Amino acid sequence: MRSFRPSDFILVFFLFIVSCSGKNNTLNENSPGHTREESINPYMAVWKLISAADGDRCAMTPSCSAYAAESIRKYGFFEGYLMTCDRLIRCGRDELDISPIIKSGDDKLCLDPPHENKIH
Amino acid sequence: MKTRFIDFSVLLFLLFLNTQAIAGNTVTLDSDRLYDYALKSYRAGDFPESASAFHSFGHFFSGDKRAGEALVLRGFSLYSIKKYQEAASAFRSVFDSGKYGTKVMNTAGLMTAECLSASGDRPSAIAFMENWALSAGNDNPFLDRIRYETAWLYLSNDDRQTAEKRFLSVKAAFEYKTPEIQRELEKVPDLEKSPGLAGTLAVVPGGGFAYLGRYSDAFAALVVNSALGIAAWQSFDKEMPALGGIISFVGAGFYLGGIYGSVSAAQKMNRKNRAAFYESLKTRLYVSEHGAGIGMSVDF
Repeated sequence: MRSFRPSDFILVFFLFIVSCSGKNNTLNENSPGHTREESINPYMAVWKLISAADGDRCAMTPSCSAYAAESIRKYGFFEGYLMTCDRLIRCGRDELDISPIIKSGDDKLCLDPPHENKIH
Repeated sequence: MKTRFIDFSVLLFLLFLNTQAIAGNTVTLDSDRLYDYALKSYRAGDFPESASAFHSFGHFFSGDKRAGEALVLRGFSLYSIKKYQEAASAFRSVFDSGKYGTKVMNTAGLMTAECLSASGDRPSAIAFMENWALSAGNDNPFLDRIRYETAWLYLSNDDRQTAEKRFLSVKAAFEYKTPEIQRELEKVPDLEKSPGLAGTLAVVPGGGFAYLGRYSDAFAALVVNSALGIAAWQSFDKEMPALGGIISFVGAGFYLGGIYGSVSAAQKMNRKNRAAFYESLKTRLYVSEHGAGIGMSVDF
C-alpha cells in the first residue's frame, strides 16, 4: 500500500474549496467591487481572467473573490487574509440559513458583507 | 402596355398596404392610460411591469402632476421585488429633485433609508437620515419622524446607546411611545453565545463552529485544516521545504481564520438575537403615520 503524498491532501483541500460553489453570482461592471482603481490591480486582473473562464458561481454576495479584495482593502492584509480564509470555509454552507437572502440581478444570493464578519 | 399598367397597380397596392401597416403599429402615449395601466399592474402585484410603466410615465410625462407619485410608486415596485439598490436609487432621485411636494419627498426619503437598510447597507441608511435631520431644520414638522426612524435604524444596526439618544430627541414622546420603548429596551436579552469560548474551542479546528451549532462549517474546517496540516508535514518529511512552507502559510491562514471566524460568528449570532428582539419590539411598539410599517402605508 503506497503512502499518501502531499498532493493528495492538497487535492482534498481544493475539492473542499470548490465544493462551496453554489449558483450564479451577479457581480457586474456596475457593482462597487469593480472600480477603475481595482481594474488596474494585478489581483483584479487575475480575478477577471478566472471569472471570464470559470464564470461567476459563488452563492454569496459579495462573491468570495470580491469579499477577499474588500476585506484586505478595508482591514489590512493580515486580518483580511484571515477573514478570506474564514469565508472560504463558510461559503455556501450554514451561512445560507443564517444570513438574509437578497435578489441581485436575476439571482438570489446570501448577503454576507465583510463588515458583518469583522470582530468588534 | 397592359403589363406595365398591372405592375404599376401592384406597386401602388403594395405601397398602400405598407402605409396601412405602419399606421396600424403606431401607438399614441396617453398619460391617463399609461398611469392607469401602471397603477393596475401595481395593484395586481405585477411589480416588474408596474416598475417599467411608472418609469415610462416619469420619463414621458415629467411635467404631469402625478410624475412624483409615479416615480415613488416605481420605487415601491422595485422594493416589492427586492431590488433594493435600484429602489434606493429611484427614491433618492425623487428625494434629491425636491420638486414633487413635501409628501412625496418625505416618503421618498424614508424609503431611501429603508431600501439602503434592506440591501444590507445600514451605515449609509443612517448617514442619509442623519444628514436629512440636519438639513431639515428644527421647525420642520417632520423632524420628529426623521429622528424616530433614525433611532430604529440605529437599533437595527445594534447601536442601542445612540438609538436611545435619538428616541429621547423626539419631542412628541407620548405620540411616538418613546418612554415605553425605553422601558422595553432595558429587557434586551443577555448574550447567548460566548465569543471567547467559541474562539477557545476553535483551537481544535471546527470546535468553535460546532459550539455555535454550525456543524457543516465545523466539518469543513476540520477536513481542510487536517488536509493542509498533513500535507505540510508530509512535505517537510519528504524534504520539500519550499512546498511545505507554502502549504503551511495557507494552512496557518485557515487555522487562524477558523478561530477568527468562530469569534465573529458568535458575535454575529448574538447580534442577530438582539436584532430579533428589536424586531419584535418594533412589531409591538412602532408608530407609523398611518398605522402600518415604515413608508409602506403611503396613500396617494
